[in-house]
Amino acid sequence: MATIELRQVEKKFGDLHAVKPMDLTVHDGEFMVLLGPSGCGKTTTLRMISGLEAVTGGQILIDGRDVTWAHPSDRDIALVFQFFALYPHLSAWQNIAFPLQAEGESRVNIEKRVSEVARMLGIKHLLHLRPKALSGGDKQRVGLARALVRRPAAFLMDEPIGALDADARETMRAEIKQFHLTQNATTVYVTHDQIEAMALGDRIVVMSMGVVQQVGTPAEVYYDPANLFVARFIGSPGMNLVTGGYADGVVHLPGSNPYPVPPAWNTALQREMGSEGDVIVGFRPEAGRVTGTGPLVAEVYATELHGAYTVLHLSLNGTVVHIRADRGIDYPIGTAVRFDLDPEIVRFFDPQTEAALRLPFDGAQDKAQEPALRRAQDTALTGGSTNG
Amino acid sequence: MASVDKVGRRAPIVHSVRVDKVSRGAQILRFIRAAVVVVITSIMLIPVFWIVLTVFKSHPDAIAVPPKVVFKPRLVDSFVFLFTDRFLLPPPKLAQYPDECKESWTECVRNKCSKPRSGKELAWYECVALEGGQLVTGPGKYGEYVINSLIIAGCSTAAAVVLGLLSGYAYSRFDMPVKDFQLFFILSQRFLPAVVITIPIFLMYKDLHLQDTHLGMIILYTVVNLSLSVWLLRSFIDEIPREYEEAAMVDGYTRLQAIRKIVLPNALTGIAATTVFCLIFAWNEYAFALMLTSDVARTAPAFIPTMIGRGVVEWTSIAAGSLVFLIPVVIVTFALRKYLLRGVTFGAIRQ
Amino acid sequence: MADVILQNITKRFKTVTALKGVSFDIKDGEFFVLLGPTGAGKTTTLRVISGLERQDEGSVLFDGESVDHLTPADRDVAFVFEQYSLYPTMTVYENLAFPLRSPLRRMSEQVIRQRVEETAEKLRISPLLERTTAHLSGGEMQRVSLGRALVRDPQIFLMDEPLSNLDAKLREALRVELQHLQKTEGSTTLFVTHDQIEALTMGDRIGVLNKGRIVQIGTPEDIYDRPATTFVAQLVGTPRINLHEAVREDSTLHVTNSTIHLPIPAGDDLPPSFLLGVRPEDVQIHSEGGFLGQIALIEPLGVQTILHVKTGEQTLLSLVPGMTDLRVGEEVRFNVVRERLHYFQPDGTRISVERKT
Repeated sequence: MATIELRQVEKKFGDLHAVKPMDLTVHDGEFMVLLGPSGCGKTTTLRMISGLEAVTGGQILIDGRDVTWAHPSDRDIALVFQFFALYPHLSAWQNIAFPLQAEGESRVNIEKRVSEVARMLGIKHLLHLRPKALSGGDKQRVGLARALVRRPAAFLMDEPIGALDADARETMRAEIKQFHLTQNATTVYVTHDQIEAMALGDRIVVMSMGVVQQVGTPAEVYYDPANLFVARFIGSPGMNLVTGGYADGVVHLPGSNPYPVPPAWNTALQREMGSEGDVIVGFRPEAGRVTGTGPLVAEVYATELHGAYTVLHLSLNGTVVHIRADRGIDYPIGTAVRFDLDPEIVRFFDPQTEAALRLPFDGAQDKAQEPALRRAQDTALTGGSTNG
Repeated sequence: MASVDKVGRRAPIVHSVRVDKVSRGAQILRFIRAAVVVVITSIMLIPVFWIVLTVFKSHPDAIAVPPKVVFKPRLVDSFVFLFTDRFLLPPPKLAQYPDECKESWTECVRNKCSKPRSGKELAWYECVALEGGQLVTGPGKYGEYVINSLIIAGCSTAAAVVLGLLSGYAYSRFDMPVKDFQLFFILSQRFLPAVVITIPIFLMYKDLHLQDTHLGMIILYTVVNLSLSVWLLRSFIDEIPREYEEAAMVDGYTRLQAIRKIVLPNALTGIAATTVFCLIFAWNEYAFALMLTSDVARTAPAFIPTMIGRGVVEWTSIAAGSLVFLIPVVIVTFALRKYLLRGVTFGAIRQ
Repeated sequence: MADVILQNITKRFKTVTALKGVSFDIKDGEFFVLLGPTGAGKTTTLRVISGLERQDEGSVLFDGESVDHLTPADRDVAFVFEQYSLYPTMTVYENLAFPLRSPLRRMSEQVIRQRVEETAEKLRISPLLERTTAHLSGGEMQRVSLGRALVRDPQIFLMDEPLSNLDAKLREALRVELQHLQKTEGSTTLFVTHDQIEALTMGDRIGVLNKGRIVQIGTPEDIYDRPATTFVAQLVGTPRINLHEAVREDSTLHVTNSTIHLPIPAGDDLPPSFLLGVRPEDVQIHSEGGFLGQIALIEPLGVQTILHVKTGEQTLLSLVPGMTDLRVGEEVRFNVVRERLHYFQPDGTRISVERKT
């Protein structure tokens, strides 16, 4: 197993920064996800770690060894690609055995290790097949097996399940996570899909335009995004962000909606904004609660049934916000609806710097996560009697 | 799994890949590549260059051994010889012309020389001929034959492209019985070399009175080119998504309107490429032209080798004929280069 | 706008029968979604309605009248394709004006300009009008495609997976916008998709298509709560419904190889062996739950968390809100919501039971 360390690593193409200087430590056994939209530099970063791309500055260390200029094959890593990259003229068995043959392993050893990984990934019955006879999921399992059979110090995965259909993706996502739980191998995983990132990662590196926006656990990036980009990018739909004028403990949201700032935040806002100024209120869809007495009023723009729940899209004088509601709720377009925000998961952002405001005392994060934890354990998502 | 001892077992890394080094290497490589391209291009252009040189040589210079690269250029002689019929004046007749008229053709024009018998003033091209001791008897056939070439190649190319576009569209879009066989059959037109089929065609044309006619040659070239143009245009149209026309048809257009408004603009690249290929074939074709035409519909390629001249092989006017003959194809290709180079790019939707 | 009726449409291609007696109706002003996996025959259905493809049997009726003999142009439908429907040689304005310039319509350039500008306003693409389509982003392109359909007032909008090539964020945004637009304009729309979320969120009614046959037609609630077959049950809802073999012994229900045994709710009449379906949100972790399980895997998604709960040899997926502090390997107790159990015959058809609710 290995620790991967990036020190001021950067990549320039001419004058263009594909990756601005970044520091990152992936701990031994950690599952680190690089997340961002296409062109944000996540794949370039992965390719630099693998050695397929040369850095233009900085150092890369694997287990304390400087591998900045080492050849990919000298880095003791394995790569899994999005498009499987299986050799079409070889059977699954030959594909998996290929890296071992390249290292000159003995025939007996190869047999043993291939059947070992094949058993682990549940593809023993497919070993005689050529890639074109395999389903997308099975192809990726063979791809994983080929990476795994070398017993590398670290896995680098570049959107390994991006090309699969939704169903297979869900299944493979769970399998990869299961695989990581049993192997505990240091893994760097690249994806543009925030759901995948949340589901898989021990920690997530959110990147945009070659710059690391935030490094944190799924809970951190979800509840406490560092800036507007992370707030929008994480979550489906992303965080609602509404600009309003702050004055005397109240944010005036569009459509003459005064929102009283939760007391805990008031000091933080006063410190940052002075007595008044513009501020962006951010809240997750589940923070909105439709109640007859809520301080905010908005018009229904659209309603979406998602199966287990409904998403209400409400228009605050043209600014559409998304609120998660119980299923069965359905209003005609144009209905005025009152709602409130859960004060524990409301966040505030500075419109100039786009950075999140922080509470002045420590432990803000713990407090933010608490209600969520509580709910997960004892309340159900939907009603109904539950006695077994 | 890898561990420290595994790292230790490995050979130390002796070589490292430095980005700056790589990029300098790449620069040198790029320079070498460009140089190679220039050299190859020059080698390929040598024949054309030599033709151009020959055009501006005097006859003795053209046949000099060893070949001359430096010489006194004669700017118009070969063109005059190319476009006129002449005969060599016997010495007694030549003697009737005053010396200042025979010295050089510019002198001859300045002195307003005239024919000894009729007293008719000599035109500038007659002066040029006189300088070589020849008398112009009338316009040559070359101009006529170039015009024949233009008509035949132009019409047959247009016909081949239009027919190819329509049938290429049909083969691309519609389901029809034994489609693959039909396409193979069309391609089979090209299997036999021209020499093999000229005799049967000659006999057939004789009966149909198509031999040595423009129409006959246009039909023949169109048929030969059609297989190429159907195949080329079909594959170009295959590249145009069907959805384009279907959207237009749903939007209230007929299929033909949709073809005109949507398929044509998007197939321009293919049409340009096909036009150039067809034109080059029809323009350069030799075997059929030699066998099936004699005078009325004779094309330039069949004529150029017959320009033996009067008494000597006039290499300079053959070179001039070749040069004139190159120009139309160069112009067309140059005019269409935008489409030829652009390639098939459909920018509408990124995949 | 018109109502559209499909009667027993059958369409054969060389070797396959793409549609086998498909019948449904779309009411005037309705948002009807055709949902099905790849190759189910969704696109073929759209093409038959538009006239781009001719059916072998059955007929298509607009407002009660057969349109079988009409060309695509005469049917007056608007088609939004998955991709490739913008003309790369034209500007956005010309693309939008193209349907109006059809010889069938004979509109003056002035009227055309007015209509195009109105539509562009509605879709917020006015600043793009003079651009060529090659310089548009994916989302802008799909907006323009929608605009080309909206610019005229067709009998019906036919949309063939118009959102599937966009990234997730854009898809979400356009989904809401499309629904809002359709509701406010009251346009009859047939929307084809393989994405169950799009179907549930946008449709007034959904038709589920599989292998050329309609499997179920109903409101999103019908489809989600009362799936007609296991196919439909597995098609809608993420994560997938838990589907396990179960047997009935007297009045107790046993899920094979698991710890789940529960009394059969009164009135539920079940065969001796069947399939039990439980939606993940109906598997609820509760400290006093009736069943014992072990957490095998945790997938936090932010707003909710997927728990893989191992019980006996079976693994159930459970969807809980928010983040969780449960750990892999931990023992948990859980319940299932008994009002929302789904029963299916071993061949996959739903066993309907009387419910008081």
